This record gives sequence, structure tokens and C-alpha cells, in this order.
Amino acid sequence: MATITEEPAAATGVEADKARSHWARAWARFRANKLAFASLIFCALLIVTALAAPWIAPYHFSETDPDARLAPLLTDGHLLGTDLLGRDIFSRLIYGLRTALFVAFGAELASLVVAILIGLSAGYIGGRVDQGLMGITDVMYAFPSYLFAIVLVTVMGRSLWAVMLAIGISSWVTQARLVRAQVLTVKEREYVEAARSMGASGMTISIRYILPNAIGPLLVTTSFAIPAAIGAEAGLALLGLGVQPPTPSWGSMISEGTSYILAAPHLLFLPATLFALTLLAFTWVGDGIRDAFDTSGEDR
Amino acid sequence: MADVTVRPDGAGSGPGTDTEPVDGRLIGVDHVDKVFSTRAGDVHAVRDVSLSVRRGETLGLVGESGSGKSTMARLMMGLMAPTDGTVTFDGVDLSTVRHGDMRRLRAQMQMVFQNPYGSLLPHYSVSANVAEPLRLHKRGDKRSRRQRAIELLTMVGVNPRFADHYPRQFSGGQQQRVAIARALALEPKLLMCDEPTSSLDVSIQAQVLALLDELRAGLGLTLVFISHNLAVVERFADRVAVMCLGQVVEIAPTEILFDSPRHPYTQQLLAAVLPVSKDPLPAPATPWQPEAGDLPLREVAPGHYVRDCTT
Amino acid sequence: MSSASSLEVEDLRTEFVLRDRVLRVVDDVSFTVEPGQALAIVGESGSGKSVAMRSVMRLLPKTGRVAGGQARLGGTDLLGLSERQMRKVRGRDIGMVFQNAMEALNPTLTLERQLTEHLLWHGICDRAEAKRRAVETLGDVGIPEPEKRIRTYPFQLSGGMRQRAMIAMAMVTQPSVLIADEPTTAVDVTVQRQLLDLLARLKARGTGVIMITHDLGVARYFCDDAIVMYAGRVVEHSPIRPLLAHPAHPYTSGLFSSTLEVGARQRALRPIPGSPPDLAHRPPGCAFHPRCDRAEERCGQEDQPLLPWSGNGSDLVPGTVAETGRPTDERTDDRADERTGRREVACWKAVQHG
Repeated sequence: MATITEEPAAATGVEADKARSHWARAWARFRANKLAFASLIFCALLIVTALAAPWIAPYHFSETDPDARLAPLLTDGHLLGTDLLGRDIFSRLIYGLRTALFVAFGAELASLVVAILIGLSAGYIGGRVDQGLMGITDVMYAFPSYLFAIVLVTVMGRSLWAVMLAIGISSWVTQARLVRAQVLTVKEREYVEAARSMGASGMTISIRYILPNAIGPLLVTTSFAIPAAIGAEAGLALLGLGVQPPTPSWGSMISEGTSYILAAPHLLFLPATLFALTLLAFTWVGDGIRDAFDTSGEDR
Repeated sequence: MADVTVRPDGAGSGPGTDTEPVDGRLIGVDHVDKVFSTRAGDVHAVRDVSLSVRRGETLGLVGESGSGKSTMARLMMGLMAPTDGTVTFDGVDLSTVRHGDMRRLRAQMQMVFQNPYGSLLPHYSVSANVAEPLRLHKRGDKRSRRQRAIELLTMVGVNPRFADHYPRQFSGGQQQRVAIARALALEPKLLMCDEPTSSLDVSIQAQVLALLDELRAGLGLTLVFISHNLAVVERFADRVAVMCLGQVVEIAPTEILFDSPRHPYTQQLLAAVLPVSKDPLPAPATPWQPEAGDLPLREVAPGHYVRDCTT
Repeated sequence: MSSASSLEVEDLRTEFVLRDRVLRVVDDVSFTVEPGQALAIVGESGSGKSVAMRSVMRLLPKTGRVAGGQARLGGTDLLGLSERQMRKVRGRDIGMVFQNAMEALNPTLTLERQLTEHLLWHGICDRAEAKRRAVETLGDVGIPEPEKRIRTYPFQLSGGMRQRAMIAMAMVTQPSVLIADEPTTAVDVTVQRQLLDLLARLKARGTGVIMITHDLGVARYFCDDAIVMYAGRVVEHSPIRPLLAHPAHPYTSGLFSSTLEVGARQRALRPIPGSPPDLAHRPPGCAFHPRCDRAEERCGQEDQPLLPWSGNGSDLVPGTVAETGRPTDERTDDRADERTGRREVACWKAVQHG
């Protein structure tokens, strides 16, 4: 069979000479955003620090130095000083970072998995399944999340897992609703019908076609949920509902610091500053991701 | 590039009623109804449609928005089940086909959609898009599928140099070529074209039509060609069915339908077309109020069926 | 301004400022719309036809700017007006009709509000008179029971009725010029004809109409003159009937032979190869030359100015005339002949052979 006449090179109907995937394009846009990229490097450093805490921190977080209580900044052996019990602030900040990130990433990852499972089933299957699942979601949504956390921590004790669960539970609900809404939008796209007409099964359609196209907005909300979870962890600790001492948390460090604000202001300012910087950096990364996926005005 | 010409009409007659020899028809639609239940009440999208698509022919399906022609396409493709009546493909009643067999049957009927960009997977390169049906039906390995995809892209006139580009990087006409290549990957018997050119620029429409014309002749395809553009259907179809309010009001071989339309709705449609070169300009047609009745389809000449109407 | 002023656009240039470069989207476009006349702007996507109109209306997106030229309406250069003065022109002196009424009408307001708003804003009349005119206009566009329908919301109307309501909105202030951007593309053929006849009534009252379209049948039915745009430039300017009977520019004749027509089965369908260029990669010289089967070396080197043309195109496009025949209608031929002196084409070959 003859082929259609080859088109002249100047009018091939192809926009650019380079093949670029959706992800490559989003990454290029993210790279171009200086603030977001710098924030990403900062966040990466934080994550590495948290992972390598036992090797970076000079002391264990519960190790006390009875000779140096409430030591000021730049004390020999205690760069950032010590607290009332003589524990090294620098080490406790690093371990506090570890707690914060562990709880935040754990909670958001778990809630993402739950949200995708529930949102995808509700959106793709529809009908009764949708009504049932969304009913549960709505009930959860209406439940005040701090109340839930108090109940959980009371029942499970002040463990890392309880805190993670308490935060994750209030987070998956919004995510699941978003996944469902995305699935409903993508499901109506012609390429899903095209896939059905090619003989694709329901499972293939939802995982290979719908999910990758719904994931952009999900990634954006997740990137904003991380700093929110870091905040929530500190908030719970501030209320005395966080992880069990002596495991350090920035929340409990801030709360302790307020008591010695005149005698040792660094006890408050150091964790508070680090907390604020971390939240800001993660939020800016989120902003960058959102803008990177925002294709308005570029896509046909 | 080849000119599009009208091919001689296929043999046989009848709109797909019982007189049609069973082996001559690829698709049989028998007294099919489709009702959608919505909050605002039931919508009768298709009512009592019977027609057939013969092997190797191109059946044009024309009608205005809301006439039920796109619903007909999906019923014929087995993408939705009729509320009443039967649809057969290659002699098999689609309502009796089990899930797994249905998937195999789908390989023999492929669809080309109105909006090419919307129907291609945005996160796959065009060669992956074309290879996707082969992957779904487990044909060959990854390398042979890609090889085949590139052959198909070449066949429809897409430069294989751009095989790894993504659909959004192509113009509308090129995207539609990719969609056609994908539809041909499984070597289907039937190509269902749902307004394949109406989202494209005029000069590109002609290219895609010429391509489809070349392909159907070369591959011996059976086509169902759905369009609201009467000129395109006239040029492209062997037989034409006119739909209005979910019913077929007239079926005839193309030349007969366009030269001597019998149903007032067909006459009204043809009178509304604004010519580009012919004179005189058509006089405004006497408006005919579409009606959904239960009046029968009658054979007025061999192969020419017209629905009775009250006016 | 009186309702009998003409719109004269001269050497209009519009650019889009992107991050790293400036794109010329409309390049030296000139045309005139006389009162009671209709001009078709024919072109494909990316030809700049909609941007040209938005430039005249001063409704460009933030990245767009008019880089030169004039758009005079009854002696006033619209491009020199302040935004405040321009707001007075829009809706009162120039009306606009869009392809999709659902997007152009405000779904939260009743037809009454939307129709009377223009009259009241521009201080054309008082509320009672505005309402009377709104009802009258709705009746004019063929909406049954206008006194009742005026209280409905756009989404309560069917597609055809909505399109009529939008036309009514553009008509109610009796503008000097109406810009219609593919007004019938989204409607069924039977409705298309009714809408065009409606617009024709407006034309008969002295409004000049600019119709952006890619449908040559619509252009021929409704318009008097046409400009054909390709890659931001006008390639041909002509009365509509001679244009279609004897296209001078190879692109025009390509468009013509790409267009299928009911009852012209024997006419050969000859697609133009390739796609329209995107403006970032505008070919040098005549932008059409890479797709043109008659292109010579010179076409890719020299810009092609619009030059007067008086031929019949038969040398340039063999077959077209013979196969389609000249229009047989005597009346239209007379009208065509009156205007043949005004044909212009941007192709040196056409000029030489014409």
C-alpha cells in the first residue's frame, strides 16, 4: 500500500523537535523556578540530615550532661547549648527533625495509598460502591480531627505510630475526595472510551490510563499536606498529645522553651526558627510543583 | 495524493431487515432501542432502528445534534448495551458475548473519534499510543510492537522521526493520523469513524479523508462514517442513513439519496446546505417539524427506504 | 457616531510578546467594511483572523500588543482611544457574536439584564425604553413569546435559541459594525441558515458585518467581500463570488479544492499537503511556499505584497474553472464584474499570469 506523500520539512505539523514527556516538561518548569528549586535542595538536605541523625548528632537525644544545664550558645562541646536537663540542643533539634519528617511522610504516604484505593474505586466503579465509600468519607470529614487525635492518643498511648495515624486519618479524606473528582473528570475523557473500544479491561483503564493523568493534582496537594502534617505534629506535641518524651519533637521543645524565655531564649528561638524555615521550604516546593503542573495556556 | 471517488454500490438491498443475506452483513442492527435514564426523566436516544452494514461498504450516518447517531456508533461497537433489540457483529449477537470474548471481538472493530487529541493517551508517545492495542491484546513483544507501530505511522503519513514525540506536540491533522494508525494496529474488519474530520481545519480535513479513502480500498475495510457534514458523507459513503430524533427516516444508496431525497427531513437538510460553487443559492426550505412517531419505514425503490410521516 | 460609519483597518500589526521572543501574529492587515456590507475573513487556525478582530476590539490577552496600524470607525482611530473611551465603543458601536453562546452569555443573569445592560451603561435610553427594545429585539431574532422569555436564564434555552439570544444582545444597541466569530460553526445546518438570515436583516439596516469563518459556503451566502488570511497576512482580497469562481492565490484555490460540496461529486478533492505553519517558524518569503505545488525559488526569498489582479486564474490553477464552471446566475455575475477591479493577491506568479 502506498503511503501518503511525505510532507515538506517546514510544515510537518510537529511543534518542537524534541520529544518531551509530561514529567520532563513539569521538571523543566520546576527547575526554572529558582525559589522552588532552592527550597527543594534545602528540603533534601533536611531529609538526609533526618535519615543520618545518629551519625550527625554528637549526642543521643536523651543523653544528659549534668555539668552543663541551660548552657548558652557556643558552649564548648554544645554548639547550640543545652536545655534544663543538660541535653544537647543541636542533637535534639536533629532528632526532632527526624520525628517531624517521619510522622509527616509516614502519615501522608499512608493516607495517599488509602485515598487512591478509595477514591479510585469510588470514582471508577461508581453507583452503590461510590455512595458507600463517599458516605464513610463524609462522616470522617465531619469529625473534628483534633478530637480524633485525642481519642487515638488516649487509647494507643503517645507513640510515634499513634501520632502518625492521628494525622493521617484527617488527611486521607480530602485526598480521597480529590482522587474521586479527578477520576470522574478523566473517566469522561475520550481516550478512556478509546481504550475501552480497543478492548482494555477496567483494571488496565484505571491503573494505566486514569491514575497517571489524575496524579498531578494529587502530587500538588500531597506536597502541601507535608508541611501541614509537620505543623500538626508540632501542634499535637505542644498540646501534650505528641510523641512520648524523651523522644524530641519541635512542638514540645517550643513549649518547654517558652518557660525559660528570659533565662535561655535560644531554647525557644532555635526550634521555632527551624520549624518555620522547614514549613516555608516545603510550602515553596509545593508551590513550585503546583506551577509546574499548571499547564493552563500551554496545552491545547 | 489520490482523489476521493465514489465506489460502486455494494450488492444486495434492504436496510437490514430480515431480507438481508446474513453472510453479506458485518453488522446487523435489529429493532434497537436505547433509553437513558436521567434525573430529568428518560431520554429515548435511539428508537426502533434497524439497519445493516455490509462487508466492504461504507455506510454514512447523518443527522443533527441529538439525532442519536453517536449513540448508534456506541451500540454498534458494543460499548453500550441496547435497551431493546439486538446488535450482531459478524453473525454474533453482542448481548450474548462473554466479557473475555468481547475483548477479542473488539480487536475486529476499532474506532476513530472526533477529537484526536482527546482520544490519544497524553502521557504516552505516539508510537506507544499506536502500539497500545497490540499490548492490550498481547500481540508480539515490546520490540516487535514498536516496529509495527512505526510501520503503521509511516503508512498514515506520520514521519517516524517523530515516533517518540507526545501527542500534544502534533497538529490536529497529524494527531488524527496517529489515531487512525492506532485503530488499524489490530487489523480490524470495521472502522467506526465518529465525525473524524469535523474538528480539523478545511485543508487538513481533505487530507484525512484522502487517507481514509486510500486505506479502506487498500485494506478492504468496512466503514461506518458518522458525520453532520453532508458533503463529506456524499463523497465518502456507499449508502447513507439519515437519522432524526433517534429514528432512521431514510436509507438509500448515496446517489439516490442526494439526487432524489424522499423524506421531508432529508429534503430540509439538503436544502439547508450552502453551496461553495453552485448556483443558484437554495431557496429557504419549508420548515418541517421533526416528529417521533411509530410510522413504518417503507421501501419506495430497490434499496431506498423512507419512513412515513404525517405531513 | 452615526450608525452609518464604516470601519477602516489599515496596516494592522499585532505581536505577542513571549518570554524569549516576539511573534508577529497579524502582519499588515488592511480592509474596509462599509455600512450594510459584509466582509468574510477566511483562514484556518493560526492564520491570525481572530487575533486581528480582537486587536480591533482591543481585547487582546496581556501578552498581545498592537504594534502598528489604524482602525478607524467613522473617523476615530480605535487603537488610539483610552481604555475608558474604548469601553464606550464596545457594545455600542461595535457588537460581537461568538461561536459558543453558552460561554458568551452570563449564566447567572436573565436575558433581560444582559440585553438592557448595554443600553443602560451607554446611556442610550431609560430602563422602560431599554426593556421595550430588548423585547422587540428578542422578537426580531425569532424567539417566540419574547415578553416571557426575557425573564429566563441562558441555560434554560436550547442551543439554537441561545445563539439567537446572543445575536439579539449584539443587535440591541444597533451597532455600526458587528464582528461575528464563527457564529454558526457550533450549530446544526438547518439552524445555521436561519441565523445567517437573521444577521442579513441587521446588514440590511445598515450595519457592517465582519464574519470570521472557515466555511466558504457561509462566506459565499452571506458576505460581499472576503480577505483570505494565511500565517498572519492577507494573501487575497476580493469580492466573494469572483474569489470562489476564480481563486487567484494558490492557497485560496487549495482551500477551495479541499472543500467538499454537496452535489459536486465529480469535482476532484485535492488536499493541500502539510499543515499551516506555527508562527514561531514562519517560512521566509511567501509563508505558503512550502505547501505550494507551484512554488519556485523566488517564493521562498521575497515577501509577497498584495498587488492588483485582474486575471481569471485559469493559467495558475488548471482544472478548477473547467470543472466547476462559472456561476450561471446572471445577476450575480453582473455584481461580480462591477467589482473585479478591486481584486488583490499576494503572489507574484498569479500577478504575472493574471
